[in-house]
Amino acid sequence: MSQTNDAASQVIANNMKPVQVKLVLLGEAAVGKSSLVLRFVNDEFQENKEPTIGAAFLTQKCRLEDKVIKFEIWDTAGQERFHSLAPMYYRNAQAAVVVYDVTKASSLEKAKSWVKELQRQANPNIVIALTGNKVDLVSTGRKGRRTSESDQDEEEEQEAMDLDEDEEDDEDYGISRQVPTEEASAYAQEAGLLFFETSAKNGEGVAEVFTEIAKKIPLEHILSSTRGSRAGGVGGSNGRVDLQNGANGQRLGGQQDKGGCAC
Amino acid sequence: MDRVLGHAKEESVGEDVDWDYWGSLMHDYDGVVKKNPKQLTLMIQKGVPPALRGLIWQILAQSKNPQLEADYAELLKATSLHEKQINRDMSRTFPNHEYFQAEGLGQESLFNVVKAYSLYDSEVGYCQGLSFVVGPLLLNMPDEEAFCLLVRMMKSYDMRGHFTPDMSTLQLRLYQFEQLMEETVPLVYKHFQNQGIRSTMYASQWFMTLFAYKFPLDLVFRIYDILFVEGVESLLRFGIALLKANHDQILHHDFEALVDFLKNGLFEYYKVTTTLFVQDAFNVKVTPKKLAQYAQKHAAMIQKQQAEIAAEESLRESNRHLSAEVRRLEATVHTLNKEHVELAKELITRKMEMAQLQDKNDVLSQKVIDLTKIVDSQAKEVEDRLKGEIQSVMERNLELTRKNEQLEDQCASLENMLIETKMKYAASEDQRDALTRKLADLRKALGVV
Repeated sequence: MSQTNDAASQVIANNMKPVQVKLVLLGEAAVGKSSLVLRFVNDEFQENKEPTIGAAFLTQKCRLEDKVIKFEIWDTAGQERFHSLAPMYYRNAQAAVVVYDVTKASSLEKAKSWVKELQRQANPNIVIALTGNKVDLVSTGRKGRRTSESDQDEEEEQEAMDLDEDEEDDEDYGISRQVPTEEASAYAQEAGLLFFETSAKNGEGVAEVFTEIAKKIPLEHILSSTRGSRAGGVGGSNGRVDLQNGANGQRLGGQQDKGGCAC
Repeated sequence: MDRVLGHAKEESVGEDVDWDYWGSLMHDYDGVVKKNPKQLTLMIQKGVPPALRGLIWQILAQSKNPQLEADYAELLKATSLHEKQINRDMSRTFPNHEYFQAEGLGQESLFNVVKAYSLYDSEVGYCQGLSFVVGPLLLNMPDEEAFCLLVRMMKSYDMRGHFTPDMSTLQLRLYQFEQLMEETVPLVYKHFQNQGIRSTMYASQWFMTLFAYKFPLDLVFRIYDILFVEGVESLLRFGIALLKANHDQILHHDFEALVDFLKNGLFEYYKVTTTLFVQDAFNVKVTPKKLAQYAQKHAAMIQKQQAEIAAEESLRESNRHLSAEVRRLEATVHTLNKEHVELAKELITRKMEMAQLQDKNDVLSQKVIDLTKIVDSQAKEVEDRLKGEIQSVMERNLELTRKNEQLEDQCASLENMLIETKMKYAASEDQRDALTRKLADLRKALGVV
């Protein structure tokens, strides 16, 4: 995500009507949902990000071939107690990113239960991406390469923040991977999901998640249905969250405008 | 984030602090309040002196409880189920506040109070948001006192329901807030409706963290001041005051800008004048009667919703059954279709066979007709021939009859000849007999030899 790409996508963004894609992030508490969005939207990483209370909303524009896609992202709270609020955010979504933490096996189980719920309750055509986050913490990961010298220090900080709920590990600095890539990938394939491993911290794989989602979503369909009725929304009128009324084809305010990935 | 500066900024109000009042209040709360209840409200609006804040809060909430403090010390020794989760959130609570940094003293106190509470109230356990409520307490008092005050807030200030698994009071609070909005800031309410903004999207944060999640702490402290005197409903007043203060700006924002503004921009207006914030909140009219009314409406709505959910569930259930039935029927239709196709094929072959047979039949019929014709014409010939034959037979018969008659005539003449012959034979016989006797006589006569 370079400045050039930003500028390019900006020019196009201003000239074309973007396709709005409603996306929801789900997953256990502290797996890095908000951090993933922050990386995608602002290309930032914030150590010790506050837990999301309720939900947060962010947008980001992307370019895919000749189209501009505007992701309208609901970032939900992960704690089980907020679970009942989630349907309001995923009901109308065309895409979902279900996040787990590769260093925490139980978070994959939670992710699976989210996938099940989505497949049962959400829009039947919803594109779901399973995303194992925090690969920067595991050195033997599939793409466990180091990208900067400061990683070592940052890693220690992150470990302090990510004390695990499971019995083993923690105090020592060798945080181990608890979810093998193959296992999660096999599950994703079986359940018909896109699959990624990411690091919100160093940015690895993050843009890819959204690019692949954009590729898989039937954009033409969304375009034609949004053209038809502005008020109804793509997912019908049953969803209580109506993102259709959000700014459309208009410059976004403030920070949300800075990013921009060239999908 | 200049939360850290919050304290310093507020100190500037300190010059006109009525130390006598606060001193006497601390000394004899009941007496002072009884003597002039309105004065307390007035003084609180002006602001509690930061140096006394912790003590005053505890007095206002009457949370001092040595027994509970002792319990707290005991709870610290126990292990909570939620410890790891709490730990995970510690560095994520006021991450930019010096006191709550990893190496700061605050984080340990925060952990202790939140952990102790999770043990003290197992139904609530640990809920994200709680640590943001505890933080401002710890900035004003030691942890055991903060724990007692937290317990008081949860119980007597009806905040428990903001954090219980069903978050029932939070839902009610959000509903009451929307109702109040409709009444007090109808244009904003309408604008939110049009833009699809729901109170859950921005106000759950307010009520679950007492505005501490995003707001500058000097504002948050003032909110706590009022809350301890006026009760938890004052949160609604602050919320409305914020919307009122930003009324025009809000109406100009669309969905996206609003979501951001409600979280990050709303407090800008009051940043320099916290006292005005408190005064504006006081001017929002919220009567208990009205809130009770809203609560009733909310209960009715929840009941209706639950009924709808139940209905929906049963519909879904029957839908599942029907879908299964449809699938079954579709399968049946499929086999029937297959059978139908086979039958159709069969029908076609049969029809073709029939056509062929028809053709054969036609040919045969034609043959029959031809043959009939042949037969008809032949019969005549045969008849003619027969007639001819009969004629000739009859002629022959006639001829034969004639021949027969001739033969009969011949026969008769032969019979006559025979009779004549026989008569001649008989006469000859007689002659022979007479001659024989004449011979014999002659012999006798001649003398027997």
